[in-house]
Amino acid sequence: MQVTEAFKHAFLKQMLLGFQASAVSTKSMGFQERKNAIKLSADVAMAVARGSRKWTRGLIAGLSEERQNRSFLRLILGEQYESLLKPCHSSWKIPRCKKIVRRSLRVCWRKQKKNQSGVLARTLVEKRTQELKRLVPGGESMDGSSLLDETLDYVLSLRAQVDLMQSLLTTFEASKLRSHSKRRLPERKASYVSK
Amino acid sequence: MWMPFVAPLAASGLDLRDTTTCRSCQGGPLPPSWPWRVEQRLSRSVLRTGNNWPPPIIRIVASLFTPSLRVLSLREQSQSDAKEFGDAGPLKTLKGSCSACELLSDLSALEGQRACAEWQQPGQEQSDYHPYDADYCMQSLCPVETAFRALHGCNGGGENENHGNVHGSNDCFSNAWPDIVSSMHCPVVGAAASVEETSVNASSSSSSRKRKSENNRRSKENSGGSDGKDDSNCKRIKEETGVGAATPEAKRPNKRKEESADASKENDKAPKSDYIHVRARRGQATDSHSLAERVRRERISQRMKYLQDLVPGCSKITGKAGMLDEIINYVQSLQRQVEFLSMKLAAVNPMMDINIDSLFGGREINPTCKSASIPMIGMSSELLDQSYLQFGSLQHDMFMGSSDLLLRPNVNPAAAVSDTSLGSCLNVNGSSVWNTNLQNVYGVEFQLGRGTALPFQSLQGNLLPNNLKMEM
Repeated sequence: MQVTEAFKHAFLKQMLLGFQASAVSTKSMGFQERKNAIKLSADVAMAVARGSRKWTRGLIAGLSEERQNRSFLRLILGEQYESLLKPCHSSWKIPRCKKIVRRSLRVCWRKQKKNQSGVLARTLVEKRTQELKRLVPGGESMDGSSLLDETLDYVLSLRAQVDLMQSLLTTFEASKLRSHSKRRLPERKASYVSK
Repeated sequence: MWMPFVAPLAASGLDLRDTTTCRSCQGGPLPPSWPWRVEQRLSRSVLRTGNNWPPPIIRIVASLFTPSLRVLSLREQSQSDAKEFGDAGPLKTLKGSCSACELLSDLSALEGQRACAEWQQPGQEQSDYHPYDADYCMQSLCPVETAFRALHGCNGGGENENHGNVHGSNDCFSNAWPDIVSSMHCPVVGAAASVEETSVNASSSSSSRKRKSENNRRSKENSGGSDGKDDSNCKRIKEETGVGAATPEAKRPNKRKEESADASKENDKAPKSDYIHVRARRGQATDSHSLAERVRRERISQRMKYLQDLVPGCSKITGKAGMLDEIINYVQSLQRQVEFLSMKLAAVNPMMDINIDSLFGGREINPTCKSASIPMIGMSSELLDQSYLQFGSLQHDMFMGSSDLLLRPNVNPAAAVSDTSLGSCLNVNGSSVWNTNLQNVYGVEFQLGRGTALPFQSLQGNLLPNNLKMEM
């Protein structure tokens, strides 16, 4: 499974826009600040490029919790910001008939009474599900199968993010190398000439 | 024809009524679960009253019910699956095809294939009991069929009668014994690929689908409208038939629950030798619940399979907990990588102005790079549009710039490039603090990055050969 080229393009564009918007290239920022700004713009770019999914909405909601990020987010997303935040299904509960829920709970309880062998396995799985919910943004409000769905999507996008950032890094480093070598050449020439 | 079997039951004075509430009707007393209780009580009655019922008859009686239920439940399951996954319309049974096989196609390709294979070997003996398995169902029908024929002594007679009764089996929850038999017979005869049977199957399956969809709708979408219909069905059933007949209808859901519960437990039992054995799974929810559970479980397992393909190194792990563990580790490692890369980018970034100048300013060598003509100091948005389109070619340029690094024969060129470029950066970069930090961190990252080096390689591997070609 691979992400599409369009996603990669949109991702990169958004990231560079984000870098520009947060004025990352100016030297006035401290190291930590710059790192946070880069991470923020990378995450936002990933969410925007992916579109509207549960985890993207959760991610942006999580990011916008801090005040300092909100202006940046608004700048980047424009009108999309509000639209992404509004249909926040995380707070919605799937409407369920109480009777049926009670019935199924009764069944589960009876099953557990009669069958104690699967309890350990179930608790392990539940623990891990809880942890996964913590990792995936917006995961707390998802149920089992949709959680796995969103995890799949999230993993793909994370991978793409890592790839893009790595290639960006090598690009910048290589260009820095070139620029350094270029700068050195006239010096060497000068020194040679002087000799 | 089946009356003689009802009579001894009545004679033995068994009270087949229970007082648990009918969950589907939500009111009336629930007739006891017919099939396995019948087995139990038949055997008990044999022991008690000393009736000399020949064992084959008991076996036939028991097995007659079980496969029919399983067939019916399979049909329903397939309908529910179809509804679940959005397949539209009734299943079309083609002429000459195995209708039962088509019904099973929703379940899983493998199971369906196996079922078809089983159908084509009618003489196959009943193998081990696979609860709620297509194999078992299909296999069990054949000996039942032979037994039935043996009882009645003529094939045609039995089938004709069943044909007549077929439309009486309106629902899977039809009541009378002949209806059960006829509905059970439908798949059996359907294997012979008669057109009548296929149409009959379609009608019965569609009616079963209706009922199943009602159940689904009731349980899932919580609409109260269908409840009334179910109530009326239950009542109608009770009115129409007597004791013996009323019991099979309501017992079927329980039997199905048992089967599904068994399937979840994956018990392997041979009912031939063990039909007295009772699986105490009576306190289950209604069938719609267990079926919904099954659907949910299948969905989850499907998604786990996708994740297994995605996460590297997960092919050996089979358990859910282990898989989730791996997934969690992978997600955590990816997130840490993002952190680390952003830190590295922050480290590189002070030079970004100069980089951008050199990136877009001083490029005359490469004719493909159009951005060379565009002076770029800082990133303006219009230039960005062009720049991101040519980011691919940019990478070409960058790698051409560091072509001496590329020309080294390396198995892992991407890693080599990054390694040496970083190394040279470190040498160039005067600050010692950054050196040590980046080196340490880079060492760690390089280990981490092994896992993702391959996709990165694929990203850049395409570019490198082009570069080399251009070099030549």
